[in-house]
Amino acid sequence: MSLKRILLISIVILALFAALGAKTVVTMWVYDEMAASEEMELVQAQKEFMRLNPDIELRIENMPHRGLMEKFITASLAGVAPDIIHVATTWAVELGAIGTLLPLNDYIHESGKDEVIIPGALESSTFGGNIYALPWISDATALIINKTAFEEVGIEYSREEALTWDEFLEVAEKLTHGDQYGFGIRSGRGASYGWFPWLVANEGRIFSEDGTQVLFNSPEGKEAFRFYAELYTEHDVIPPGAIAYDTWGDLRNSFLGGRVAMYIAGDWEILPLREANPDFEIDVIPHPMQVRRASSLGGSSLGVWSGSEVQEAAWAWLDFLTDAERMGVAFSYGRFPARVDAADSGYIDDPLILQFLKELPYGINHAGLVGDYSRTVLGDAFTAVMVYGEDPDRALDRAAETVQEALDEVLDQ
Amino acid sequence: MNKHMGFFLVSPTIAVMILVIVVPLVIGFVMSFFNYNLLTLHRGTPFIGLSNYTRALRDSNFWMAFWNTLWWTLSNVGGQVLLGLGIALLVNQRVKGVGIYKALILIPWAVPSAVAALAWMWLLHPEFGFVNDVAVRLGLIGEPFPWLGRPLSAQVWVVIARVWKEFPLSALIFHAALQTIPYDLYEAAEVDGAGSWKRFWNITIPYLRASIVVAITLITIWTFNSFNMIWVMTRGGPRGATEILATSIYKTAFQRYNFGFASSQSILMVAFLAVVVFLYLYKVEGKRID
Amino acid sequence: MFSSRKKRIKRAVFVHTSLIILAFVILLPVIWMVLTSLKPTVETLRFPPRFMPENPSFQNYLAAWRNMRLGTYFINSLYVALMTTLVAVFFGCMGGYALARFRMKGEKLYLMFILATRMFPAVVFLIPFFIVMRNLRLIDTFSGLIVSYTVFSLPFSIWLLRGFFRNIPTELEEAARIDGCTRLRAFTKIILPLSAPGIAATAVFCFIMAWNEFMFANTLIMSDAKRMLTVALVASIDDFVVRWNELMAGGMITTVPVIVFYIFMQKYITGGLTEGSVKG
Repeated sequence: MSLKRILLISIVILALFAALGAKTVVTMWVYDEMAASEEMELVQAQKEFMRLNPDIELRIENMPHRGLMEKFITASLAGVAPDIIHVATTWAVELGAIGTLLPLNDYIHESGKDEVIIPGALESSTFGGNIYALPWISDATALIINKTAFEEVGIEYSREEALTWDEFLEVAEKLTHGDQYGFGIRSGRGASYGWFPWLVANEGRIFSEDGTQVLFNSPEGKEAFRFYAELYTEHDVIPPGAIAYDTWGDLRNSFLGGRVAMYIAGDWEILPLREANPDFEIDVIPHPMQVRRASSLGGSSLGVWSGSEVQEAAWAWLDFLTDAERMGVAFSYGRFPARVDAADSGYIDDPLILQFLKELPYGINHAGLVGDYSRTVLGDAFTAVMVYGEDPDRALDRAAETVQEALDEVLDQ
Repeated sequence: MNKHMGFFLVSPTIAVMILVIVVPLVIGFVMSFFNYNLLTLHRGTPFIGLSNYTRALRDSNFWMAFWNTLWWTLSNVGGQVLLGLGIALLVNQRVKGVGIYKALILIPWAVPSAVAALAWMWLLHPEFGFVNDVAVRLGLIGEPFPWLGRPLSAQVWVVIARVWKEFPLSALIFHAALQTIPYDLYEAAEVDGAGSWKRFWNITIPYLRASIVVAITLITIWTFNSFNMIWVMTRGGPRGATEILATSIYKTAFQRYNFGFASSQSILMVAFLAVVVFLYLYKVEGKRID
Repeated sequence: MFSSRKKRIKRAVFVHTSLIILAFVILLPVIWMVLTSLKPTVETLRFPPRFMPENPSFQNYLAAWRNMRLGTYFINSLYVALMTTLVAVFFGCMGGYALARFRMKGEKLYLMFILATRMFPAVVFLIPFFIVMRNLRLIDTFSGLIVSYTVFSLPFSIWLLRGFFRNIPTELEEAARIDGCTRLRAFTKIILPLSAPGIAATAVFCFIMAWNEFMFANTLIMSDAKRMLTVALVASIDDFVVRWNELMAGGMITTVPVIVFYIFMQKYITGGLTEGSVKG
């Protein structure tokens, strides 16, 4: 009898020790080097969170953005994925659909976060009623211009009124002289990302409302595709090298090197532009428009791995990080929190960042079940037209067919 | 006694090699008959017979990768053998102070292929690259050219980059072979009045023949299998212009997650290569081992 | 006599000039890498570019080491490469010695097998390896990588060492054994010291193979803390920021150890190569 008791007691004591000693370890992958050094706000928030939750040990790792989605999928299938992953807003739906991300509906609803997160951002993380990631940062793209280049040729510009396509083309042509070209774009997949707002501005759509049909090769789509490609093939306002501008870095460097006078990107560009050359004069004006205004709604969200064994703790950190008190984290990186109260929070006084903010209402959602693949395929279509001189209509039709096939395969249609 | 000792010493390596080479290959082979897709693992991995193979053989991308691999291999063999031979011959000249070049010319081989690829990307940068700068200054092109963004030039430059990286190997092989040629032979030939071309054809080449065969086969095999340079420089682009079997298989497996389909392509790739490997092992190495 | 001397000088001039030009052209990518690594960012973004840096500094090396965390990756690569070398050389000595000294059934087949393993495309192994490592829970571990690298360097290591051991006369060993040495003692006392250069060359080969490897490291390692140097460099061409000057500094940091090895081991490398892949 007493032996049993001793045993029981010791088990209880051991369990207590175990509970006290063993911390819950939560791992997180972030991109953009957001936790690269001790002084960074994300690391500060991490420390604060761990101080408030002594039983949780939070580990943050920096990961390259390029190829991160593939890495997460393979890691997830190998059972070694992190508990939390920082994803581009457009990835969540795809990662969720293949079962690598946990639907966060209940968590989001209980915490009341669905009231404070920008609805458009939540929407682009939702598929089939499931919200697969918690939006953290939102951004919209606008036209970044080389002020000096504009002054040189005496072009007046407005920070309020969007240029129509014809006006934009005219400006780009004026800016093209000597070694300088009017406009710069990223090649391949980057080109498709950049093209989506032009498609929507012309009243086109990427996918149907329910996400099951590819619609980007509609007549409006074809017109937008042709216009965008012909900036390169016909009007020569984009430098020949642009078909090898693989990254935002390439495009930015070309802008700073005086090769291109305008490019379209999000607020994330401002900090690196200033860092690389503080004397370079830039301004930000609205994204060009056609029938309506449109801009690429992007940003990043935080997802919880479906295989995580510490989902509660992981959510606790996400909840903490997206609270109003932590809005300063996003702002410290020159980024904009995905919260409805962010605009009035008084954190921003940077006139350039504010320019991007004005674009948020026109932001379009380009997430889709095969969104990542569709960007690859459309990128190939742009290469086909720009490099191989193929007819834009044909290239776009073929891309639509390929993406539809992939979509059918995923949906088992 | 001795026999047992030998087996005892070899057995761990045999065991390890079988475990980690034969077993994975068998797994790969078996996998190629299944619909083994990481994304649909929860739906199971049904046996689908030869479907993966018929799909590969009907896939225009697979054949494009096949032909690209062929050209990639042939041009690499040509470039590496010629450059390697030329340099070996120069370094072999009985001229004072040639030794220093031997060390210098080895350097590209020491550069890790990932780093070499990055260095070439920067050299070929569409705006700030050295190659563009020189070409513009020489008036070869009017303005900077996106070398890795155009299909033909991308194909040419990845070959140049890899020849640059790998030629020291063949140079070393030829250099070693040249050292075995007795110098008297040349002197005797010169006394007989043979010109330098004649000496090259009648003495050097016969002595080098075996090494040339070895170099060609080894470079063929290694280039056929190579992955790093192309992957880092172009990822197979623009639009498949530099896609080779290795990069295509990697993409199928780790970007489209279709391990079954990727395995079937791997098996086909090995089958293409097997002919060369078999001939090499049988004709060249087999004789040596005896 | 005079004309032959003139001829000799002419030839020396020809050989030297062509080699100098060739060496310059061949080293150009490396030179461009070094020069870029010394330039401040503004100078790398100048259009048209300039060859020489105007304000050279080692700032980029510091930045690469700290901001790109190359310090961590350097240690990771060093650890994995050293462990691989240790394991591959140990088993290589065992296997190489056995194949050099004992006549065995199926020896030729085994040698063929060893050679053949070096001829399979690595990507063909990668896919089943991923599955096996996944089931063994070795994805994202150094051990998984060390196992993979050992597999690839072991055949070569056995092959090279067999060649070196064979060159040592059997008589030496036999004499020691007549003096009462065991085989193991004879091996450690006679064979090992005599084949030390060969073992060193083999070790260098294994080390460099593991140090330079990219594809397996890129696929089997997931987390940042365990990333290898080569992968980290390539990954630093990210979608948002590319700093070519720091990247080239990182490239130098990765390459210099290998070049140093090569220069010191040049003699053995040439020997090892001809042993391993030419003479057999």
